[in-house]
Amino acid sequence: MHMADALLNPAVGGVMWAAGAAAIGVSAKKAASDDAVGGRIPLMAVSGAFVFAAQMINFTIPGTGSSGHIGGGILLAALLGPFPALLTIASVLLIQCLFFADGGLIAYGANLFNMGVIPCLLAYPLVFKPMLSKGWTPWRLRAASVVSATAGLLAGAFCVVLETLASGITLLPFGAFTLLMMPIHLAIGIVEGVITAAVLSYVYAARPEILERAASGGSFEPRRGKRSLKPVLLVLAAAAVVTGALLSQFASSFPDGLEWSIERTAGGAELESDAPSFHRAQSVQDATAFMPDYGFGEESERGEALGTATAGIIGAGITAALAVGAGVAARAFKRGRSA
Amino acid sequence: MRSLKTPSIETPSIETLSMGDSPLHRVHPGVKMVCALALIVLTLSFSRTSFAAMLPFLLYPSVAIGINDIPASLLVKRLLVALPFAVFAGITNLVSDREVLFRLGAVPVTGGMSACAGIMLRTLLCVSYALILMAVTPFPEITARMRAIHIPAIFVQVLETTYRYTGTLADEARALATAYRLRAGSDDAGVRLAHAGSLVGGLFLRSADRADRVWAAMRLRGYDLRGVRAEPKPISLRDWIFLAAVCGSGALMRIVDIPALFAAGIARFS
Repeated sequence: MHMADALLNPAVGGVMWAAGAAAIGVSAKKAASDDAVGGRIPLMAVSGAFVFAAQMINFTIPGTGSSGHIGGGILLAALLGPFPALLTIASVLLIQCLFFADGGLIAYGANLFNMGVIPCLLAYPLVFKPMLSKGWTPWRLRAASVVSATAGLLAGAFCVVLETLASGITLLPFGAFTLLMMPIHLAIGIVEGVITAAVLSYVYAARPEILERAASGGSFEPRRGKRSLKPVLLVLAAAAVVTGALLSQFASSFPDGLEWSIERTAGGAELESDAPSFHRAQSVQDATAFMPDYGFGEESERGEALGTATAGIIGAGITAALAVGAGVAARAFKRGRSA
Repeated sequence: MRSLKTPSIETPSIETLSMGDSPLHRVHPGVKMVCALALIVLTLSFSRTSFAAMLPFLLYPSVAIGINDIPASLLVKRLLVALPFAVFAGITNLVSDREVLFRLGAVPVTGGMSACAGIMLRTLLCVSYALILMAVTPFPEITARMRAIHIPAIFVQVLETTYRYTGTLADEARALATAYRLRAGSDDAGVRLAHAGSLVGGLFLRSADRADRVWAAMRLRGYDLRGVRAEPKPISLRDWIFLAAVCGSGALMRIVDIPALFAAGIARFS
């Protein structure tokens, strides 16, 4: 479910970065306020590496011929507690992004929100813990794991839909996009939930104190007399989603920040000129840019002129060749010097 | 059956590359991080259907790969990881946007096709920027910069330690999976769900115990939460020039549609 940078525009990415940074800040503040935090850093790190490693093991899904792997959010929240789990997930996502291209840099905030904040700070306290409030039994633990992991994954997938639509990356209607995303993630969520339940059941049978300590808040609970930051975080998260939607509307109305700047400085959305060379270049550019300014009608008809379009494609090809050729030349030059 | 000794993840190879020496390696790490982010933002600022106008941005990964001898296969493998959602978004565009923009011979080119191509190119570029940053910048230098801009110390600490443990645990997980396949008698067998608890749960408990031992050993050797840090090197004039060149040329290529200029030239002389 890792989003790539290509699925977001900078405005939505920036808003989600702010939401992710707020979540990390609050979690770090809670963790830092605890004297025992130092001793838990290795456990948090090993748990992060464990999730990373466990994702390399594929599990056979009975009757389907396909396979799935373990999820991270609910598992880590159950093992570490929600706030340390969020810091751990944030580390895992950053390493996946930087070293494995699994999720983009600009999309990091969105991925952290979808796969960290939602399972650790929403699904875990609102679904997992209440289901175990009447006491821990193996079946309650399994049910809580499956339901919370599935709910967390579905909510995350829904946020992917919102973020992608808000970025204007797809023209699919909201309903169709949601219908495409939800069923497949429902299936994935159930599989992840079953695997999470199996692992947690095993850990609970062998070392129940690990899960019980995390569920009771462990050493990361807010101290008495101090104001809880949970409501603040929830408000921040909700505000981030709402703001993202609003900003994206702004971004949709004015898709190009440069054009907006030009409009403010020159009085029009695009700089105009009467020079013949300008008009000639403009006609070619319209064809090369395929759908300039999201225009369809006239531009599309104009673009049907085969000669113009061909020139545009050749121009694009020359540019790509030059760009790649520069790299080849740089490598050849370097090898020539070192030989 | 793959060898038990086959490297399971390629972090070490990127790590090895990052320890090299090249003009890009010598640039200040903070400057490289800013440049990578700036290029990503500039690339993402193109409209949904832009394709040709983004092509000049291939210059950056191309030159960086050329100068630093970064294997192209590394990039391709990572790109495959990043592609699934991008392909999904691209396909939805193919379906939802069938307006014919122009014809290339007998082949109609639709808005969805150009949007799909644009998403793929965007993915390629953004993945390249991030991977090249990591291939020319040692990870400790990046985490040092994160501390310098006051990212919470505990997060940076967890990040560094997770990074250190990842390779070890990944190899252990792979060995587990291999042993399971050997016992199952089939190379392609996945782990049955019924065995998930004992297999992965056992891995976690062993890892947690190991974490306790590692922490005790670190403390005995005088480790504290502040970690070991080298003094950050100052930003030199050469770093400023590099920053201005990369960001300036990027902004220029964002404003000026270079393929359109080539096309105008071709149209004039044809």
